[in-house]
Amino acid sequence: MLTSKREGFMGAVLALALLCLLASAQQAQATTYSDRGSGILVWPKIVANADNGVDTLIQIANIDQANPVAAHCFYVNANSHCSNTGAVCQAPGDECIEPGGFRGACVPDWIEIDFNVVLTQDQPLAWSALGGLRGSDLPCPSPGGPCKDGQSNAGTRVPPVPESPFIGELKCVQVDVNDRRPIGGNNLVGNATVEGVFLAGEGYVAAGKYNAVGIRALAPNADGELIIGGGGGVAEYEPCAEILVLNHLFDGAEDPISLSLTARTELTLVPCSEDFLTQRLSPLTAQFLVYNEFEQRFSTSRQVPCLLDSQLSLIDTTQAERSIFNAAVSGTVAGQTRIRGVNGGLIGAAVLNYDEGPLPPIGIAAYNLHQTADRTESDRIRIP
Amino acid sequence: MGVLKRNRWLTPLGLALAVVVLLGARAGALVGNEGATASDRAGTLIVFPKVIADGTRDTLITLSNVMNTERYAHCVYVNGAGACSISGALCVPGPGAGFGCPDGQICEARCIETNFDIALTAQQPTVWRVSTGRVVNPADGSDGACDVLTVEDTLREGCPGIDPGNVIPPNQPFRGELKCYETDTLGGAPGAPPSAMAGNAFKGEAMIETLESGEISKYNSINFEANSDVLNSDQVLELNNGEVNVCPARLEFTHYAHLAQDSIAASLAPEACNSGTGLCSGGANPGAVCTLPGGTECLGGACVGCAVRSEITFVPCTEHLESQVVIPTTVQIRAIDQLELSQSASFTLGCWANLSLDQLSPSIFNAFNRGEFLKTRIFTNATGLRCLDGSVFSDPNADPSLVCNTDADCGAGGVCGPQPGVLAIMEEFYEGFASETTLDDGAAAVDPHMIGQRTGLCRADLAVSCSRDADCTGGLCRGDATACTTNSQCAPTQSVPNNRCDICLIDEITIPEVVPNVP
Repeated sequence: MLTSKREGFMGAVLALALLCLLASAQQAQATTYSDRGSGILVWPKIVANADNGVDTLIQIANIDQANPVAAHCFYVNANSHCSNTGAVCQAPGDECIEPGGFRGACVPDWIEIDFNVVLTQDQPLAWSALGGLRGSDLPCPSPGGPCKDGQSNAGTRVPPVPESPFIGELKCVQVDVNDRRPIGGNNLVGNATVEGVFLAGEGYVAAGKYNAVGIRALAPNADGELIIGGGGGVAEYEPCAEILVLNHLFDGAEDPISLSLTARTELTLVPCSEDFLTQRLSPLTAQFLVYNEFEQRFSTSRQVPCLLDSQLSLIDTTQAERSIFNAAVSGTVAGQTRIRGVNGGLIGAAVLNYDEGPLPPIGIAAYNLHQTADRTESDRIRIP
Repeated sequence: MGVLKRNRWLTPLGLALAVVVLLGARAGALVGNEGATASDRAGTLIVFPKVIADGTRDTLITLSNVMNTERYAHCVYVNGAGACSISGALCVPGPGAGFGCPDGQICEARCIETNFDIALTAQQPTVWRVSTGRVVNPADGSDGACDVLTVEDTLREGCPGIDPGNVIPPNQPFRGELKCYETDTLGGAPGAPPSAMAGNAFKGEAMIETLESGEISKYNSINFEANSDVLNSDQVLELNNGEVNVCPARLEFTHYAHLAQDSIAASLAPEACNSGTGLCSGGANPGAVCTLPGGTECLGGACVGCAVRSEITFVPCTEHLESQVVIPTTVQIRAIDQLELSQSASFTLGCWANLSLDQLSPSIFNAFNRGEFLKTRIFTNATGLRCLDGSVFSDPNADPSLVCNTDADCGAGGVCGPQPGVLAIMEEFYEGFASETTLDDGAAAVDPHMIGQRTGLCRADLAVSCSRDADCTGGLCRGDATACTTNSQCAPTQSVPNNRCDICLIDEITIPEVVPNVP
């Protein structure tokens, strides 16, 4: 009896510990932010398609009111390409047919290009993904210009994205103005406006704006390996979030305001870890827990190679009407989806589209995901 | 034996695990919680600064409980729509007499508050349309679509799912804010109002839709975490790094200057953006419709096609929702262009304001003068003093600016303290190819970048700034200004039911005391 009592007590202690663990996992807030100055900025979704009238305006600003800052930035081109023609294709399974009828495969790809941006004190700067930023467009192209204290944008040149259509991400790391090595400071903020310019009919513009997600610097050393979170005092940056929380309307849900438009949400996820030095991919898996308004829970998983950009209802199936993200399946209008990277941290953004038939979306709204709990293991970004 | 062996390590392991986990949770909370507001993490107090249901636009609120237990919230709509002082017509309150009223009239914000309670089960999301609210209707289908109902001549909506409660539609036209804070019970117990609870369980988004065009914009609610060790059960949420996190020291937006040309539209559709009609930017008649190219109608400015204009929506961090007395605050706005040139403006914020950049200042945001892109910094200075409490609130002859130097300026029971901080949301409107109409093509809302933490003033010595109570040597009781160091030294009285020890004054929200009847 004594033994069983002790067992009960110890079981209770363990249960209490596990409860604490669960409670702490729920309550601890993440330390990545989409509304703070940071040492690393991540724009998960940069899209451009000159033929379809889509481009992204990228804005970045220095919040330091006295000193210039520099950023080492990386476009990640996540386009897939046909193995035979090299043309951009959407996904494995797409047809890559040459004029002679020879078929190729659509191969996922990721190619990185990098550039530097120098911002003077308090300065905002902007460019479009398709246009980039040439030296002649810079407000203060060289020292001795109109900017204060001899500061200038010298050293800045933003290339246009390498392909159209383009889907990819942008990461910028705050670096020393002189030697371009990572430093702290947390002085970068940014946002992106995804814009569609549709000329059909009378023509119209639709736009959605989200904030770049920031990873705050602790004390980065000057090497090329940026350690994000993790124990043992090795962390140079605060950790990525353990869980991303997305509030959304289920795909196909009727807009409760117009009662005619239908909702379609695109989710973009990118890994916290990336190896820009060797361009090696370490795919990770995203787990999705989906709650409807009946408190019913569904789940699915999907691999995230270097970038996942998908309509919600195509994450778990190729038949959107059968998806757990479809309003007809879930039964309610609103959903909450919790996303966890199984073997690495994730960063994301969402775009809500309001559709009226098969035309381009009538309305676009981009927004940031919520972030909960810190990852206990490190994520790493290696830069050249 | 096996059991005994396990016992030896199970006990210390369990205890150690519990201790480690508790410490870890605490440490995680401390690291993650910078004591500041956030738009991407859940909170106890959540603020939707811009909610519109005025017949031309409507708002869809999505809200979810991120915790694994049922949670409750008390929500308050504050209608900041203006009405012309004589005609009562809808107008825009703002600097000077405001906007949209005939000469001789001023636009007055009525700041009417209405409230309701909701409950969300574990991890439950919910949604409602502001103009209709959401009825409780167990007979809702499960077809993923809401149904419009007419209830006693009022348009309501029922949606599938567990209804969170009767979400009321606010008085309309509605232009204002929505605040929700977590409570310990649903609507309180008989004879006792609900108390705020530091559960940090809620997150939300607002999607504003233009009814005619279907254009949408969406932003995250701005959320405040609360500290369960400090949050008490009175009807005051103190935003002072004690009970609840503090407002940011400053907000920043990076955006197009007023009536700058949308560079993406101009690049992708140059002919459409440089022919037809545009809007005059700068000069003597900014905003006037002009003909491209050339725009001879513009008096000194330039005719811009595919122009972008922006609105900023402001709400104060300090609000007396109980008394519905507005404590004004002077909002400082600084626009920095790409050449680092900084120009500033200011205005007095009441309960709510939604102003386009040219309404805030006709000159400092103008693309013709300032270039294409700006960074705008918004803040209030704590050193500007306003009455935060006192008989001046009920004095019809009192100066509505509530400016003070000492407690005595605020009448009996007066508290003179720092003027409120400010929260804001920006929304950009893309005129597209339809500048000749009043209809915008696209809209995009965005949350601010929130920088630093707002500081306040020590109640006992207004010359001393503070970030938290520990920065002050002591405080004064709210009711009778006797010296104190803890709330227990300030007993509630009939006239001051929320008596407390004011130490570091930063911001506070006095919530309506809704006491359910005793059956």
